[in-house]
Amino acid sequence: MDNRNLISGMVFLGLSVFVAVSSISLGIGHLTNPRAGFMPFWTSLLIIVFSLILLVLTVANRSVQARRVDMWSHVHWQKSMMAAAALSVYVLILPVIGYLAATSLLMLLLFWLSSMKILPAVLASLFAAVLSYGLFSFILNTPLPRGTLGF
Amino acid sequence: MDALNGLFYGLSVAFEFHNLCLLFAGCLLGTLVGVLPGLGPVGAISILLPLTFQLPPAGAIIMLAGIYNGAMYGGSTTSILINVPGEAASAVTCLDGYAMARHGQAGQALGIAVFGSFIAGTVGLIGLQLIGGPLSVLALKFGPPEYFAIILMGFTFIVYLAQGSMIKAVLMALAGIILSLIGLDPITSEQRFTFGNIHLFEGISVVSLAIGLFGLAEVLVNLEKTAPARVLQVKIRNMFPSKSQWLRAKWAIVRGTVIGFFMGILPGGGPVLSTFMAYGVEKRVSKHPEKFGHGAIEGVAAPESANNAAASTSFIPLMTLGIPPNVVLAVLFGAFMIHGVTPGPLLMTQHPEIFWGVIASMYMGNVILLVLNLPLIPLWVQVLRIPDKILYPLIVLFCLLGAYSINNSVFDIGVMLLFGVLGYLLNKFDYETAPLILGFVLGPMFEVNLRRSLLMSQGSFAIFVERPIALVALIVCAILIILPLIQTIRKTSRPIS
Repeated sequence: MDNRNLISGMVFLGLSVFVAVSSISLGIGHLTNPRAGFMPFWTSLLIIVFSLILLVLTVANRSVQARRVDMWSHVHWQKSMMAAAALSVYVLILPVIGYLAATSLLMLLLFWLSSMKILPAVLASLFAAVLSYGLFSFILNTPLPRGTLGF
Repeated sequence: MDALNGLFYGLSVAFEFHNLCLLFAGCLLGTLVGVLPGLGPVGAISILLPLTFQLPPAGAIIMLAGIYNGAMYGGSTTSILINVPGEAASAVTCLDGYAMARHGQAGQALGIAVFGSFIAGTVGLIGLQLIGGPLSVLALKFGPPEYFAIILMGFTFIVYLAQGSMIKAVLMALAGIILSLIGLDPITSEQRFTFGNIHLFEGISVVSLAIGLFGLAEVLVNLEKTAPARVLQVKIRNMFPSKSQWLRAKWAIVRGTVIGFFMGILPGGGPVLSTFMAYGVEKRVSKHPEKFGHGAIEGVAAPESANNAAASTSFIPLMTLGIPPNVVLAVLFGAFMIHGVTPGPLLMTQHPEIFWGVIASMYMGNVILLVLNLPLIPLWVQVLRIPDKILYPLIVLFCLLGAYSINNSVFDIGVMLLFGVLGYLLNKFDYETAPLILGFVLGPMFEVNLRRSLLMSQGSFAIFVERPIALVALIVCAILIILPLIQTIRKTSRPIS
């Protein structure tokens, strides 16, 4: 059985139950006067039905195509996870230390993750951060976050 | 304004110096993005959208349409030279394009791809020009029931034409609808799923969603790959196909154009699917199907013609009905809205400079791309040699800036990141993201038209069968639902021999 369908089906089921319950508290209304919860309720109900179909078909097909898909072997998934983690930290520190410093740090990490040597990575990250800052701040008039450092 | 006068008016708009410059820039950027593997037209339009914020709406849309068409042209270069599609609509071109390149015919493969794209793209534009006007007039007569039924038909097509599991496509489209409902209720202005967060009152930005799903997610998927793609070491000499190659390719171009023309209009069809269909048809009608996959020029001409014809005609439902038929046009729909323009039947009368200006500029863009692609192919080959270690971090930077610039808000970067990770996981779990974004864009229209129809009919669903256009759309829906069911029943009831 395809473990991917099993996991994703359950996630869909859980989320849609949450949406359905929240929709009831919003008020579903009637067909003559549908309210704010009308659309989310019926849509989440459809998701529940289809995720159940997915789960049932996955379990029913286990003897036909018994396979467990390993999504994480033969790939450097750690790199992707580290990039995502770095971006999460970036979102948190951007308003605090400002665009130039935060972006330089992020780019340095991303260049390093992409197997660039440290000195070229430092230069490239500074270049990318300063160039994008100039382009967006002065040419496109987009005010980038300055943070406590003032830039 | 009739089609011919409209075109002349459009040409006067497109020939304005700044619009011409924007069109050229769009074509160039689009081709560059199309050439680079890992960033398709959706990501490109989303990321480059902030560059258009300072522009007048007509110029902005002209530039974005140029990016789209440029990406369609550029994608084939990567497919032919490194066997990795620059964007999804060029995936099929890899099969015979790369084989031709390995046999020393890279130039001819690139050449037929460009010529086929030009011919098909132009035919698609003629269709857009001729059909666009009358369809806009017809669409003015549509009310909420018609719109609801047509959008429902769109959803059904999206699921029916899904490349993977239909159940997963349904789930994705429904999830897209749920996401689109976040924010204030369009009729009562009540808060829905905002959790009190002021940033969510206006809902999730389609641009942040698209950048995350199609820009950042692509980088995350590519970052984990162990072996980078290698550019074929070939000398590109003659890019003009020989007479015999032309003779073999001409009907492939015609068939590809026809398939692309109609697939572009269909919701859920679009350039990607048209290439698979065109390749399949070409292989089936060929006297030498065994040559496909080993360097058959028809295998390059047909899909490349199909994707460009589809790229042109996919503007028809967007500009006349306000319904984006595929994921790229869904993002373009968002771009229209950001620039304060609502695509739909009133576009032609309220913003003729955009309606006709975009059509005329696409004609000109086709010529620019023909001229740009042939002599610049050696340059694109050099672009392909940019190492991934430089490329991917820069794409991430553009993603960040693209998401931030929509509202100058760090929150939008967070949303983009969330959908980037979600897109990465959906890829792992074998889900297509295109139905999600289409569900997201069509969701609010779907809800408003359903609720208005029910209010009009005082809760009776009969309103959908009493109106002829709505009834036809619902019959099409029913057929599209019943067909796969019949196929499944036939398959299961067939005795195992």
